Amino acid sequence: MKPPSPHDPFDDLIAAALHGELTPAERVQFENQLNTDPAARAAYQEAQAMHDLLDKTHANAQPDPNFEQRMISGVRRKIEYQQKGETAWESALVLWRSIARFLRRRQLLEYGMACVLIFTVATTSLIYTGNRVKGVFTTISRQLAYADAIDGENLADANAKRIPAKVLEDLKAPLSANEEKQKLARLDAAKDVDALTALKKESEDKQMAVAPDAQLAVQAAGNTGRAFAARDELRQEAAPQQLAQAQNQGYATDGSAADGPAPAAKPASVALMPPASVSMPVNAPTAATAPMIVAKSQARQELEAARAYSGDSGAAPAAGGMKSDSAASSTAASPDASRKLIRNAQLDLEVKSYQSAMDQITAMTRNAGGYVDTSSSQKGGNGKLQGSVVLKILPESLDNFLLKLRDLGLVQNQSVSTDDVTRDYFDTQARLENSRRMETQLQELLKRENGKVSDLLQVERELGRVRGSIEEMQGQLKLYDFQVQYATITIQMREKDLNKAAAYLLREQDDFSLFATDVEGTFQKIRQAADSFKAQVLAANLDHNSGSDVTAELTVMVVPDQIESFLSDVRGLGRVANFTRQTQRVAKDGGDSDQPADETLTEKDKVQVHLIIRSDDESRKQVTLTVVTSAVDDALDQAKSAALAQAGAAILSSSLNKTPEGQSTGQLSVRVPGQAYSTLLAAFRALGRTSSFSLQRNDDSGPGANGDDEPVILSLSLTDDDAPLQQTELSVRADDVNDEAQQLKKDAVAAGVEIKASSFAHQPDGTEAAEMTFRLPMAKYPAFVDMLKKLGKVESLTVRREDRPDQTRTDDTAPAEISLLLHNERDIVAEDNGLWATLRQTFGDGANALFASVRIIGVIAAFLAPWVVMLLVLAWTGRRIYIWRKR
Amino acid sequence: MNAFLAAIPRFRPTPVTSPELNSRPASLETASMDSAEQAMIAAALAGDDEAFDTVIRTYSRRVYVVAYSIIQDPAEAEDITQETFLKAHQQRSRLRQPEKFPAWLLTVTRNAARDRLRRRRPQADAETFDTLIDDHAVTPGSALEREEHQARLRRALASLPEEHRTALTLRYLEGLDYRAIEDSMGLTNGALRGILGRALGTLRRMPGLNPMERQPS
Repeated sequence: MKPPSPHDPFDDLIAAALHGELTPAERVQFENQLNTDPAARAAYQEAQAMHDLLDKTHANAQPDPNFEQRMISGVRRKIEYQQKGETAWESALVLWRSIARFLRRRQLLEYGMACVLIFTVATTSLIYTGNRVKGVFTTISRQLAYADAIDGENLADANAKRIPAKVLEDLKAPLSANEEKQKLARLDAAKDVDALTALKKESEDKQMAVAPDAQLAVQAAGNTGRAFAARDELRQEAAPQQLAQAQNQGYATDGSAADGPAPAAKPASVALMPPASVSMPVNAPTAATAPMIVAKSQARQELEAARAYSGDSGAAPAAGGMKSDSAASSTAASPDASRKLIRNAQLDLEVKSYQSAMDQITAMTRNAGGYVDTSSSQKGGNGKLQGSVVLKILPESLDNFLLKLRDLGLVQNQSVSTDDVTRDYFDTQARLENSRRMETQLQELLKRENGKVSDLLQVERELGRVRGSIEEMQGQLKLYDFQVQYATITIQMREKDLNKAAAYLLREQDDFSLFATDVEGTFQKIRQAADSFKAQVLAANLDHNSGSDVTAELTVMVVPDQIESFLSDVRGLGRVANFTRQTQRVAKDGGDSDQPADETLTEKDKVQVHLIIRSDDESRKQVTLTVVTSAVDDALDQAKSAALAQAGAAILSSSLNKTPEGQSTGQLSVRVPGQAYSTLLAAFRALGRTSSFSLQRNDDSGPGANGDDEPVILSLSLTDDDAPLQQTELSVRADDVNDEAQQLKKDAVAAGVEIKASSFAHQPDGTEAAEMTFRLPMAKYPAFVDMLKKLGKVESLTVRREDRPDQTRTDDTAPAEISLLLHNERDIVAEDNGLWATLRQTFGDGANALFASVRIIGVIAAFLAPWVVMLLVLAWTGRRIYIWRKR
Repeated sequence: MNAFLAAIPRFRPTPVTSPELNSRPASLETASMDSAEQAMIAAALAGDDEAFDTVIRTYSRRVYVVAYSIIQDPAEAEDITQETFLKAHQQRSRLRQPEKFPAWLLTVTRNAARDRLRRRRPQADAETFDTLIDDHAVTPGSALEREEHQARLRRALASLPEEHRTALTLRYLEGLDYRAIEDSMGLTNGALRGILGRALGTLRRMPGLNPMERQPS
């Protein structure tokens, strides 16, 4: 690419000359050459111009004085920008990279060490946090300071023989000084982090001067004092086995684990190390610097040793003795006073009189120094009372009070429970103390803090939170106080026989059916009877369905002493069937019906009578017959007049039906006295041929014999449709079905044969079929069948004849029926499979396929069009951009 | 003619010993580092932002020169400088040895500059010499023309071998004498003379670049 630069040694000289790097000898030679050679001079001039240009250009490129500052701010800006732009993805990437790098590294040992270190730190902090929780007990110890002293003495007694006298003395010394330590602890806690770090710094500055050391030692002593007190508390609470453990933990927390600010406590103990080492026995020279404190700490250590000893070796007997001691002294010193017990009692009481019991309870409560908290009662339907009372009683008089309550009535259930909230109570109190301390610290911080607004706001927020929790804890304590101050008794009280019903009712209900000939009349009569008996009619229905089909329904309430006479009246009106009587006893005014009834209390309620009145035609002897006759109308009229002529007969219903096909049917239903029914039956039979007859008699239709004189229901059916005597089915194959069928119809009409039905069908395969049904008298039958046989080839012939007993074989008028199927053979090639049909079909299918493909192409075009357009637009835009860029 | 000769700078037998130049490390890379500087770098690598600012203050000029020697464009060189320090800031946790930090910094700079030049080159190749032989390209008259001319010169410089560019930059931008340049680039006197002579000669002979070219001789 570059033109190869011809190397001219003179160029080097020119450059060196321009850069002032010629040796004197070279310079002389160079000047001579310039003087003698014009080309060299021109070259030099050119080079000098270039040199000047380079100088100028580079002078422009020289970094300005602000260059460094600009770089710094530029880099800063970019770093900030990048940090802002750092996303979760980038963090993930960094994590991945570091993991990858870690896996690549070979110094796994280093990482292992780091892991062990981290684990140690985490465990330590966990233990530390646990100890902070325990530190809460330091405050509890304040409450129990005196108990601690007593306890210490007990312990001393129990172990007098085992523990050296010196240790015992030491044991008492710190205990008596316990109060002082508490004060110190509080002072220490009140100081905040700044104060302590300031002190630490001071002490370092002064090369462990005596004064600050002493101060720090005081603080440390305070801390350890509190830790110690916490252990005492723990010992009081815990079982002997736990004691040793708790003390061990106490050692671990020594000096640094009190509830004071952690970072403050640590430096304090560090600073303390040289003058008054916690873990080593104190010796004279160092003790001289702070004699009193050192003495205390020594005493404390020995005490701890003694406790650990007793906890380890003689733990069980010692603690047991101690426990029994304290139990023995409980009556005198009443250590229970410091325990917080909530007592509750629950009582179920059955009394004779609620009100008097309530009065007694109120009086007793007032005498026992308590009060009635709430009471409620409710009255049942039978006038009995039940309710509940909540009493507040001084806990010490609770047991006596409960005994007294037993006199009031029958105690069905009693429970007494005691809830020990001592731990929770003092726990809350300790937390309250801590929160108060924190509040004052925050307030001081707020006063002192003149820093950022956001910091102030944070302090304010924290203060609000702390105050909130203080209020909450105060409320909790108040609640506890109240609950402890008074025991609660809840009494559920109820009067005797609460569930006994006041009275019973005997409720009776009668149900029956009444069969009567005149339903409507009977219905009215029963209503009149109900009126005369002063009975109450609850419901009365009369249904006229059709003809003689009438039913009625009645519901009547009758007073108990008149029920029998009412029923006997009703029975006289017809035949009674399905009589049922239900009796039910119900409790009056609520109460429990399961309780055994006291008979004297039972009353009889009104009797409810429910009856259904039905026509007794349903239960009569019934005769049904069907008569075939050619003239139904006339026959029906004759039957009616025959029935009317009969004395005592009643026409129940009659009907006449004519169908469009010319068929007629008639119905007649008559009630006839039993004596006369055979006469009427004979008259009915004379109307034509009896095709069916049936007789039904319900002999078990209730009381009262259905004698011969009882009316009979006679039902007559008339019809003109006589079943044919002989039926013939004929299948004939003919050549020209249509013509022959037409001809046959004409012939049949000419021969006086009735055509009942005819049909003609032509199939696409060339089959023609004519179906005809003829009806004719038997006299014409043989001739007509012969004619039919001549129509073509007879393929099948079936004849069925049903002879009737009342009919003679030679009865030429009896109807016969002939069914004829006239058909031809189908074409070899069906019409729709012929040449033209096939051609037409093919052409049609082709056209269909063509249009279908057009449709699919249209769909494809519609499917692709937008994409094609889009691609075209993209291509066009790309080309425009390309052209624009090229320009 | 005499005035002409007088313009030739006198030979200076001893290398320039101005305090400003002396304080500068003889070579760009093999900078002798005192313990304070090392401590500063260590602090910067450990995350101390103020120390990092100091590092930028100390090394930015050197980085700039290296970048410029390759890219031959002040604005781009400044860009590269900032990027280099940004990269250093990002990767500071990985850079463990403070004494190797300057060398690392300059390597990063050089790579960044070469990378940028490589990305620029195709266009430069396409148009360098066409535009250089433009009629109204020479005879710097207006400021605009002068600037155009300088840009052209920079492109021409960028087309030189890297060794030539470095030498020219050290001479013209840094103002180093031959001895210092030899030390810095690890060259003999003869080689350096050859390089500078050839570089100057090439530039002088490039068409459309030398202002003397069109002057009536």
